[in-house]
Amino acid sequence: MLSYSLFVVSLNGFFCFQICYFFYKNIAFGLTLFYFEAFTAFSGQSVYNDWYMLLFNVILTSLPVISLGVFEQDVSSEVCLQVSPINYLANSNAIFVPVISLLQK
Amino acid sequence: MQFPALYQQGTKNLFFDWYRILGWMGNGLYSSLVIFILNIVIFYNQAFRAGGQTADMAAVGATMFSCIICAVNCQIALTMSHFTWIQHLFVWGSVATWYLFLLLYGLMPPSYSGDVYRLLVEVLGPAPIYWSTILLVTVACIVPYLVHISFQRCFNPMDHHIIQEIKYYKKDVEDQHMWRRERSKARQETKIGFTARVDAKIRQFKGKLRKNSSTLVSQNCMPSPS
Repeated sequence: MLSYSLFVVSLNGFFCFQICYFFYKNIAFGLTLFYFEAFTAFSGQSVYNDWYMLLFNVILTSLPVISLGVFEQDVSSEVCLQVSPINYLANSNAIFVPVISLLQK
Repeated sequence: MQFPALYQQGTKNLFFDWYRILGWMGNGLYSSLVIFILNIVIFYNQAFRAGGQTADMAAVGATMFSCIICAVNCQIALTMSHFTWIQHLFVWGSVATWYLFLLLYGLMPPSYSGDVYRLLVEVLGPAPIYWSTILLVTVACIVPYLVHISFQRCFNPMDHHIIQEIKYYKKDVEDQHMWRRERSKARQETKIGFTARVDAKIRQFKGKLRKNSSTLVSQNCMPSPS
């Protein structure tokens, strides 16, 4: 139950943040490339080595955002422990209610 | 149920709105502008190395990319409120991985590495302007976000901010009033609008009507007992 309540509290916020962060980092990276094209009168020359661009999303910036999605929590588990997730689930989504009643047995 | 307010953040949809997404996109646009303009201005026409050489495209590209990696990783470190050692490892390890890659790629023979041959060891590493550029650009990139979250936390805090500070400063022991206010926060009247309630009433009424008429019909169809 503990992991479940932590999951529910944090899910919405960090899901959105992860999406936003992907937008952020790729805009910050991609537009510099575009500016450089404009700067060189659209010569087609790339300011970055091919390997930089290849590794950017694959290795260099992917793991922090995954670790954030997995480990981030707004409030500590002791606060979350004192809270039952049932009320939240009941008023948000009826599908979860049978699951909760199963867990309580 | 100690803090019902925490559980309402998700249902009230406080985290997923267009302002937030556009805000991050705007932040990305700002970062890209800062990274590009500062780098071009700094390296445009001044000596770069101790010998007086100016920077070529490989040096500018590597510097710009270093700035992006540092800025992007510092930004995510700034948004985290709960660090485990794994997050530290990944965030700072990403920056370290980039330098490790640049070092190893530069050590390969020039037929493989091309422009990057010994770039970090001979060109970028000894140049103070390279390291100071990274510092300047990174700070310039994360300052708006830092200002934003500081203002939000000071003047318009969300529920989890307040609870974090209550727990951090042990306010639940000292300031009973604040503690009670935060605990009773979600037990307020519903914020759903008037029209939604009217709609619900109408739907309920229609449902009742339909049930009544159907029972009437079934009654009519039933054969009379006589």
